[in-house]
Amino acid sequence: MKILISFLLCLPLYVNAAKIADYHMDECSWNGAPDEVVDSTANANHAKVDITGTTTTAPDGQINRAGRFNEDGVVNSAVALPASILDGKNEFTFTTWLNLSGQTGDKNTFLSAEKNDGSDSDEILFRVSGGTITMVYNGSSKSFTNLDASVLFNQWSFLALSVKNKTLGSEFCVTINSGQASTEYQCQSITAFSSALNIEHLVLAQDRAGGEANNFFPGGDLNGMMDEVKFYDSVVSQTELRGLYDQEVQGKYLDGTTPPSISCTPSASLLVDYRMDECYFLGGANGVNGDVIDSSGNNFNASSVDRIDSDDTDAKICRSGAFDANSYAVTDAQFTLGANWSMSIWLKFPFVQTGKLYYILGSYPSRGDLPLFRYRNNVLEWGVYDNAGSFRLNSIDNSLTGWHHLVFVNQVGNTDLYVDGNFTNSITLGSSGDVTYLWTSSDDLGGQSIASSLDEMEFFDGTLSADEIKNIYLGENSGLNYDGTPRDCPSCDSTTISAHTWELVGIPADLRIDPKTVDQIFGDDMQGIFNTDWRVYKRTYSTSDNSSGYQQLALNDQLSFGEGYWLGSSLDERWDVNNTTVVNYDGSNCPTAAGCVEVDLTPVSLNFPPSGTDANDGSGLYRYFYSGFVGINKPVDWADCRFVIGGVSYTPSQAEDSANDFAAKQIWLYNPNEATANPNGYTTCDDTTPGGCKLLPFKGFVVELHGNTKGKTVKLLIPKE
Amino acid sequence: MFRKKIFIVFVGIVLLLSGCSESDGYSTSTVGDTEEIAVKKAPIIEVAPSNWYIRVVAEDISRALKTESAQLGELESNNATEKHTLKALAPFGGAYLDVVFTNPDGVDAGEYKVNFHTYQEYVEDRWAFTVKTDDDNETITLYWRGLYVLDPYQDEQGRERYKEYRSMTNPLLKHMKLVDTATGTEYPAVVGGIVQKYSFELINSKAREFEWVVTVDEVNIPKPVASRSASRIVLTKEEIVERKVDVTQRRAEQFDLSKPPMFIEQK
Repeated sequence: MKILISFLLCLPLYVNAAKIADYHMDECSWNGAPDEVVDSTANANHAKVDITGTTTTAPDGQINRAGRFNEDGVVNSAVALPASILDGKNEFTFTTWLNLSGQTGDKNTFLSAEKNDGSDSDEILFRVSGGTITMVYNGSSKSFTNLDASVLFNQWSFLALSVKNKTLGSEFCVTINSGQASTEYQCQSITAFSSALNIEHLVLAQDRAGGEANNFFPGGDLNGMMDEVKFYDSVVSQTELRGLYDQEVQGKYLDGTTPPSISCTPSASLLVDYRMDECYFLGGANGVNGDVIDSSGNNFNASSVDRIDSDDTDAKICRSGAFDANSYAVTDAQFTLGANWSMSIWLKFPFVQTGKLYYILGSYPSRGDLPLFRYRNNVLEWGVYDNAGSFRLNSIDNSLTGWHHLVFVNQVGNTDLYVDGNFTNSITLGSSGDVTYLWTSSDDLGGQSIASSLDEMEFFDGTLSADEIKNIYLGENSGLNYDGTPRDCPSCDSTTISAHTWELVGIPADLRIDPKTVDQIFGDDMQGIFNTDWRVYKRTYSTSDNSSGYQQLALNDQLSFGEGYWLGSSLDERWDVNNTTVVNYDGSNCPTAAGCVEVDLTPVSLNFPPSGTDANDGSGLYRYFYSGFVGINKPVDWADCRFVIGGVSYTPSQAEDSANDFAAKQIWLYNPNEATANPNGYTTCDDTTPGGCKLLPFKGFVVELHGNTKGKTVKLLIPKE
Repeated sequence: MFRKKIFIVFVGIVLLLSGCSESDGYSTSTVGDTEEIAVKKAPIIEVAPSNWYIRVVAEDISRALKTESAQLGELESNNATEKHTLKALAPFGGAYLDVVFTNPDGVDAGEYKVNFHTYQEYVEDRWAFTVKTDDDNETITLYWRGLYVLDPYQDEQGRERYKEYRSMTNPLLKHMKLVDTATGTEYPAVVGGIVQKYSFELINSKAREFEWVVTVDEVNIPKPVASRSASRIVLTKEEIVERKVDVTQRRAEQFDLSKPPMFIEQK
């Protein structure tokens, strides 16, 4: 193995043989147009697909996109190459990446050529069936059946075929790698190949057969994908082929460069892009709006209502939104759908049937909905409710389970449905207007929500073509964005701070049992220079009165469990608590069954007499304590927290009750949003606030303690999220 | 088309014969892969709620200041004011923009961020609030995010909680108006079903008084020339980028690592 690794490290970044053609297959789509399959060499051996076939490109290639063949079993799905590539050749090398998706018994012809003599006798043909690589020359075949690394299904394999005719030594060599540690190589003699090739047709992914009515031999088609197809004018050495494989398996070209990612933007412009990758949705708590992010750049954020869970365990890309029977969202700024628009979405089937008749993807303020679904007598249909109040339904496959991609194309009074990239049926109604509600209807906000999981909802300001829909489906099905560009999933076990801002932070780690310093929590992540680019301050509390101050911390200062800290940064930064111990929810008398943990609060130092007045300068009646939320996964409800004072547990409202007067029921959160650069961005809420009040991961909050806490142990019970 | 007509006639006959054509509100028939016409998708008509709130948003666009934590509303519970009125804190210095309810009835004198009243049917109700800022020469925009309709319930611990439905279309919005106390100008909460925005200039003043009024009859104010739809003002991508650049530059100019944001001035 060591020898092999050493050998691999010295692999050449060149091939001596001249390259006749090189097809990256990175075009966004093929539809039969001349020269659409681009040869990247100077030879300009461009090609095109058979116009009646369904061959196109897919985003999940070995390097960027790939040619995708015969998904629907159409026989004449092929790429027609210039015959001159091999015509007259006595030797050549053909390399490709293959990803087969059919049955092991399929013939999977990946390259064939013939004369125009009307017979089925192939001039030369290569195919792979099961683990067998076969070359056919004028009816005589040679097969390799014992390669250690056979071509596997549903994964990319590198394949190289080098052929020399009799005059040059009569050899047919196969190099193959199917994810093995090294390439495999075998050669056989092929005495039948005795003269230069005489061909008039050269085809990828089909068995070209002149005797057949449609020029293709039935059953010889390739099911799957091909990528990085190359032709060389002579035999390429094994060392060179290994060098080629070694680069391409890493997604690089032979010269070691990484190709730029391919963006296949549909002709219709992207209007809205709800990726549903947020770490949590607040459902209106804390007065937070715009928590459903539009990634299109058009700023059509929406605000979640009721409970939408962010799910990273069951999503199409990164995270998804899991809806309950009442949840939906309201667009912060309505976006307008005109006469022609398209919507792409991933939905999880079957929906959770909540006893409702309708499950609606959104609506306008008055009549008219986005496309909807109806469950009636356990039969699912899809429908359109237009702006005039007309309503029509059509069928959808009731056996759908799991995630499926749906595209609705609305074109002047007609709506087409595509499921998983394929046209399903139409409804001769359409709708338009200002989209106000998402995932429910204005008809019945809480009664027609989608009640399922959904992901990657995009609106386009125009109609998408079938090719574009296929592209979106294939790309997103492979974890890519709608335009085929890669997606970076957001990290939810870390948080960001924007340049030139302050954050009141909580540290979601058990610093009681695993103490950490400023350096260990922040210093290991922050890229800037401590004290110059970023600083940490803690709140200090007077022991003589109720005033407070701030203390700048040094790198080696210890941080305290459950306290809030000011973190300021002049750079965009991200920090996490990956090197810490997760919180041990070991509290007793927990308000929720999930468990809880106690956080120490500093009580007042001075209990003013009843006639005392609050100077509102920190020296008055109250102590404002900076606490830090210790949960990391998702917010918890402030109503589920408890003050524990002198060993007795109180809800926030009970703590404020005049009979106790230990604390204010309300808390303050430092919530400056992106548009708010001021240092006064606090919001406040309490345990009874309609709309909710939540503690957020990585965030601190302010608690107001009253005079009756003097001399008492004061703790906060925070439930496990 | 002919088959469709037959189908419609057939459905009509069935509905007539059944005498309860809309027992579930809908009437359709399965027709395989072909398009099907339903008689109706009956909308459920929204009604004016007795538990609700409005969230008042104030924004100083030129300085990128925004506050949206002021809530006013009505609840059926008798102690709505006492239970759901949250106090405000004095501005902490520096640039600020705030919306507060000053000396509302039923609670101690002071400034509050949240003010609920007990619901009374067919009675006009008013909330006085103040928009405060540190700069006496700014243009402030007020808007609201539709009506938050509340559905009270008791949770598993016996506490009163609320399910919340946010509606841009609830008929109660037609009974609401904003009154600029300084000018007497009245603005409807919605015009033609579209939630409005109201912009005003602070001239030699750091505060402006307003009232939010719920009227018995529908508000009937001619569409104000200066009113704008809250939801239709959409920035272009370029404007969004420009605004972010402006905010970033302003942050950089104002940022001081030696002064963390104050929460109540130090002694």
